[in-house]
Amino acid sequence: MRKIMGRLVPAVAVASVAAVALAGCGSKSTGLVESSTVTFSYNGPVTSLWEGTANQYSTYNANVAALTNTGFNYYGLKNGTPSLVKNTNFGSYSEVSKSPLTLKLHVNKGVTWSDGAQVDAADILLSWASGLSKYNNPKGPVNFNAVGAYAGTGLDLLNTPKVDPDGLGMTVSFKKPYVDWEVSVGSTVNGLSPGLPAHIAYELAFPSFKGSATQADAAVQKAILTGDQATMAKLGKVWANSWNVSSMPSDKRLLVSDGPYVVSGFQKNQSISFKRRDDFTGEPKKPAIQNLTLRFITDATSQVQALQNGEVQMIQGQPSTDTVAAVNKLNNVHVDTFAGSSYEHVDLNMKVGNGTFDPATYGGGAAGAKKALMVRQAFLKALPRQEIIDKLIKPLQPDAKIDDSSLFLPGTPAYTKDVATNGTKAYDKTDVAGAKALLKKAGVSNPTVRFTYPNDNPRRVSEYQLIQASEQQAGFNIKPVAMTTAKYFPFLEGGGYDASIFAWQFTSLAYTGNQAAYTSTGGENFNHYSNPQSDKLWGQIASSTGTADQTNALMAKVDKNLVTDAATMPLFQFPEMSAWSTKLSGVSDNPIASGMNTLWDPWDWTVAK
Amino acid sequence: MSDHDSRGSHESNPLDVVPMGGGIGGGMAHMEAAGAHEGVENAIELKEVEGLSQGRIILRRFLHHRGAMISLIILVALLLLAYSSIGFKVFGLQIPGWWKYQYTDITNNSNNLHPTLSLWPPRFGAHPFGQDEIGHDVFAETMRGVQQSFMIIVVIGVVSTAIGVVVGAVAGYFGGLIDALLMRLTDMFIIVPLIILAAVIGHYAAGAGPFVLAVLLGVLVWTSLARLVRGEVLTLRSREFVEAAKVAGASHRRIIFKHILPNAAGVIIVSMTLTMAAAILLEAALGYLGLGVQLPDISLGSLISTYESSFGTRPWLFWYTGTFILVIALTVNFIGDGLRDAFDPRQRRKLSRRAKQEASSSRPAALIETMNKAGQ
Amino acid sequence: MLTFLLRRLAASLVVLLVASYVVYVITCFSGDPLQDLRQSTSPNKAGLIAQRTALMHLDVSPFLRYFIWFGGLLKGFTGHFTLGVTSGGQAVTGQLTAAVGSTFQLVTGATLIAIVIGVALGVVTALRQYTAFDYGTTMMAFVFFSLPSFWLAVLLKEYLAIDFNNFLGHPVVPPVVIAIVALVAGVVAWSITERGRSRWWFVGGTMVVIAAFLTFISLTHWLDNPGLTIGGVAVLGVATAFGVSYLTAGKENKRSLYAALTTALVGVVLYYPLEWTVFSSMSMPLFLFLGVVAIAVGALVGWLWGGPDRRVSMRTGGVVAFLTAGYIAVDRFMQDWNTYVNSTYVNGRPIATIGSQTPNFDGDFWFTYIDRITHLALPTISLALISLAGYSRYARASMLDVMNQDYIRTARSKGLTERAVVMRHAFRNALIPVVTIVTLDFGALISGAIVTENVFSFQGMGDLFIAGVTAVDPNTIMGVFLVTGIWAIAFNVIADVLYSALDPRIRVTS
Repeated sequence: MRKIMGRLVPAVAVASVAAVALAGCGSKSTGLVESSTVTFSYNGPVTSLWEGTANQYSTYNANVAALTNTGFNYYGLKNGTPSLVKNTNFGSYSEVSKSPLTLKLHVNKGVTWSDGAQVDAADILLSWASGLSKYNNPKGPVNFNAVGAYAGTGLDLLNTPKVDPDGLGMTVSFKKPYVDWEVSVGSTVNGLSPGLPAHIAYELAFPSFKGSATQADAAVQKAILTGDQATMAKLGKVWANSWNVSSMPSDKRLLVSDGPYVVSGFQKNQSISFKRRDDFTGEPKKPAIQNLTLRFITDATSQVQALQNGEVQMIQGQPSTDTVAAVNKLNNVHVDTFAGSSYEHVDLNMKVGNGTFDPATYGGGAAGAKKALMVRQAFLKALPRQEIIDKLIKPLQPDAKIDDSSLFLPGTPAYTKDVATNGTKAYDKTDVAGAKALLKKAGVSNPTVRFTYPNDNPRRVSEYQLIQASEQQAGFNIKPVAMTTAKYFPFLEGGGYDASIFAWQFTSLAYTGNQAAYTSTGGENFNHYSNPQSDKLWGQIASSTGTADQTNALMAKVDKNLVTDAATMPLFQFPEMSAWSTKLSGVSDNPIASGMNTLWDPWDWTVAK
Repeated sequence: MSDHDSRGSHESNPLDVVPMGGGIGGGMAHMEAAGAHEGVENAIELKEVEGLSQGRIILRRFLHHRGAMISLIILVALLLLAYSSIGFKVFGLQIPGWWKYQYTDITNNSNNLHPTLSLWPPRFGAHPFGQDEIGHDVFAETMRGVQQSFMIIVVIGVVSTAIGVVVGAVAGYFGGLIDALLMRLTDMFIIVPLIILAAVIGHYAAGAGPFVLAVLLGVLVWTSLARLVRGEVLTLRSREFVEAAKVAGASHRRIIFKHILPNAAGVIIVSMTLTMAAAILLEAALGYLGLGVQLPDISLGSLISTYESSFGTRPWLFWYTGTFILVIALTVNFIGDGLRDAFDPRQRRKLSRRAKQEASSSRPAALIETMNKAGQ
Repeated sequence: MLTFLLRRLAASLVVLLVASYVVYVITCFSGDPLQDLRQSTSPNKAGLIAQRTALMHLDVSPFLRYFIWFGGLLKGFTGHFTLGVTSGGQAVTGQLTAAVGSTFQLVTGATLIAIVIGVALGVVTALRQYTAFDYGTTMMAFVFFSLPSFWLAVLLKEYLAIDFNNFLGHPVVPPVVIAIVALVAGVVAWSITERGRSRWWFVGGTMVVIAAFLTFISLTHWLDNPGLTIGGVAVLGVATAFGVSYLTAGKENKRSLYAALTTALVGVVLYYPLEWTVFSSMSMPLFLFLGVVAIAVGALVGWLWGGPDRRVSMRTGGVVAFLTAGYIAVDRFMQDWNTYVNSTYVNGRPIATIGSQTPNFDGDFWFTYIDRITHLALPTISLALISLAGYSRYARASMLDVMNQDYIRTARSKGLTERAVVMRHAFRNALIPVVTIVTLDFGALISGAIVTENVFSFQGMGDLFIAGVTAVDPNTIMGVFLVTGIWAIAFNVIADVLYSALDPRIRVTS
């Protein structure tokens, strides 16, 4: 054994020395390619590159559209409140005639897709056609599966558009007046602004096609204007499916964008990255930041900790008292809490068997209606609206106020006007004594109220508990009907309750946004509210050709009826929070954004070194 | 399907090593082999327990297990606190407690919601564990949580043990087709994700309350016990006393319940305590996923998941609940550990090496016997 | 044996089939897949509902709808295999592949760590039953076992990521901390050793080494620019050689020791050649291949040295070679650490709290895996802590059981050293049941990390599953169920085989 060792040890020694000597020869270059990016996070993953289909329309996918789509107008901020801003760098539009409503649209020459193709009428036509109800039949030959299919309203009733000779614009005329036409003009999802690139859609639909982008556009245009079913079927299939990918596609044509950024990386369930388009000419200017990355972090605490650890520079998600407090504790972080576009409200069910708020319970007729009205008013009087704000909302958003309108977004001038007349102010103060008196006057003692709420949402449970405590004092006997959110909406549709609590969200400034909830036959009229005068007013609003102020005045009348009938009572707007590193500047929140509230103006962002 | 239940409901308990897989019998022979042939150490220990019955020996071992005894005292004290403080309901009758608030009461903000409990100077205050944002007294909430969580784990323990014992014993005793069918049924329960079943329960029985939830969970988590008991029965059924009972004409039921199961009591009791320890975590995990006890009723699991994000900002909402979960889980685990040691004669106190040497030198005969045994 | 396996497999498949039907149907009944549309304010609500109904075949009764899904499976025979589409209209198979990969990444490392540490702890606590160390470990095991995992995750992020990153900004350990850590290490060392003079040497030695190491780190700012250098690799390699040789072969077996030392030296000699040849063009397959080569070289060295038991020498050589290769690899990673930490990707805060990698990271093998490791660190530790608590209890119980067996007594009485008894007779046998449990547990973990995945934004199987449950989407759930079900069956069978192969006493029935 020793002999072997004797031979081996010197050999090893020599080899080691040689190795050390040789080491001097090696030189190492670093294998890292640096690049800087601004990273922000949202509380859910982007699951599709295109948000326009029925099964992929989500606030998460809207974030992609916010960066990769532009249109004739967009929601900007005017004195802190959202309003439509014309995107003149993209194109122009105008109302040529009011009766019949006729619009002229024109895309500026030189506004291109990121592959260099000019944005033109074909792109607009595809966006419009994708929403036509005749092209959205799941059992029929043509199915775009579009989320915004018009179903008999608005754009469905458009005469065949006339395309301008230069192919960049068109004239469209409506068969019926349409009050929200301007919102539709700016809409990239089934509207009159381009969504998906028509030439790419055509190339994908006809893989054997070898022509130019202009030829493809011409083919799309022809198919839409002539109603070519076969071509439309193929286009529909592509429109509905090809962009529905949740990771980086191998076909780079799917990334073609007409917005300020283009997708540069997409890691399933983790992140999506964007690169600035250097040929972008849209509104209002080219962004300053080269690379953006959106990371998907569902857990609120994780978002805060990621911000704290410097992994993301901006976060947004559903805030809780604790996440707001935790973010406020961080150094070098700017926190913005603001009122969002969803508003919580209490609905009183006016048509349900044995219902406390149902006139039928009190014998129907004028007397019954009057009695039921008094009971409803009593209930609304005893709602602890201020207490709910103080205890549940102010810790998240110190400047929170009671929401006093069911139809207008607080902060807008129209809201201020509406609130002055609608009568909700009378219910701002909790009036237990008044409620008692009203009940007594109605001759109803200790009415039972079946109060339904989703019990998997802690805030709603707290709201219920506060309401219950207050109403009990007023003499109402509150019977909870609690269930999970999954069961909640079918239940609301079905009935079996007297009062409910949930929220509606404004996703646009369209006038008709709330129509379905407050008309007698509306699909969202869960509490069976019916007022013939209001129904008539809604009809006038939908086909209004007057100025914004005139239409708003009609809306205010509807809202006044709502309050007079004591059918529903808004409570508060959902508090929202964004927080970003103080290295970032130029960031602001737009409550009406459909994705992240900060993402509406990336061109204003700058980052300090 | 979650971290917790994967720990809680799968094959076996971490403190009890058994062979697994549906086709394998055997298992640790817990009760046998306490006889003299076991060797030197046993001989020494046997002296201590001379003249005592089996039950007394086990009790004695358990009482000597320091960790288990301390845990038992803590757990009992905790339960006394929980049930006496806010009172409880029996058959619709509300027994009042000494604490001034109920978990449903909305109280006025005091001390800026912070806890008033202080160790020095000793002070309980108006809200010892603080309040949440709408004024619930966290002490009352926690006590209610302890009551509900404890009820849930006891129910899960009892239900799962009952089903597991019956299925396991029948499968192991009768063998053949019955065994195969029952074991495949067990496989089914293992393979179907618990969380789906929990979601279904949540969908249909959400209003039914925590007791129903607990029973249903118990119906789902008996599989490991069934396998354990089956293994145990497989080894026991060929033992002489079972043969004797058969010859004497005892019915199957009598043999299973009078002769076999008492001998498997150790495994069963231990497994039950450990299932209970895991159940509190299962309940917490379900709460985190929104599938557990539904508000406004509360359990420790639902409390801690509601206040998960309060960790750094309103720690009192999180730490008290968390501590109670930990204390219950720890004490039940330690009690299970103590029971295991008490039931398993081989897990005895370790003798020092010197004592072993002395013993072996003074009793060569025992040593030789051991060697003979090993040589067979 | 084969018939047994086939029968077992067939039975399992039947179970899986029946279970799949049950799962499909109960999923359909677990909620309302149209729930989110019902609260939609879209004027096109009816159209949206019609679209989804068509996509998910909601107009077909769940009892029959299963067969639409099952038909997709059968189409596998004609090459058109499909698991259907999710409620989002995407293929389930695509979703699954991504999720399986992500979960596998997470679970593998955690399981390995948990096994190694858990078994080691279990064995040591069994050998030192009812000592302070045993009680302490039991206590800690139960605490980790009882800690809700989201809680553990939040704590880890707070202290191991955010605070540790702060510390890395100025990596100096205060003397007080050094003293405390050394003291704790001393107590642990004291509690795992037996009474006697060598105990105090061991305790003192441990404390000095720990204190010296921490002081060194602190004074040289080693963490800023860590590295082992060839000297460090040599020292560690030789120490490993002694340690491994002692554990596997014993003090007396000099051949084994020489084999180990030679292997370590070979590693040291190759340090620079590796550095400027293969290391610059490293890839994962090559990396793994080099690991295998290392083991082979070590075994060859062991074979050349021979000794009383050639296989023992080979084993020693193989283990030492693998570990030494590991040191060299670690050293190589450390060389890039400083660049990584100061890069624009992490800006001085290397330990990540979310995700599996930095988005758009562009680096070579070494940088990419530094990035992966810094991202995997927290979730892995979190999962490992939870499982190792369980494994250490299993291993302890199993070891105790074995140590009281007659054949151990026999081994002792025929005069074998305690090391030989423990390592050769007890440890191996104690491992049998542990192996079984670990295989089954690994299967459970695949689907069992929902909370951990969620908290670390590490979307895998658990997350996919929850998404399916929330959307009441049977196709997604069935996809996850198929993977976990087949996985569970496979491991069940493997466990059976392992068990009957390792322990001939087990009857193979049913």
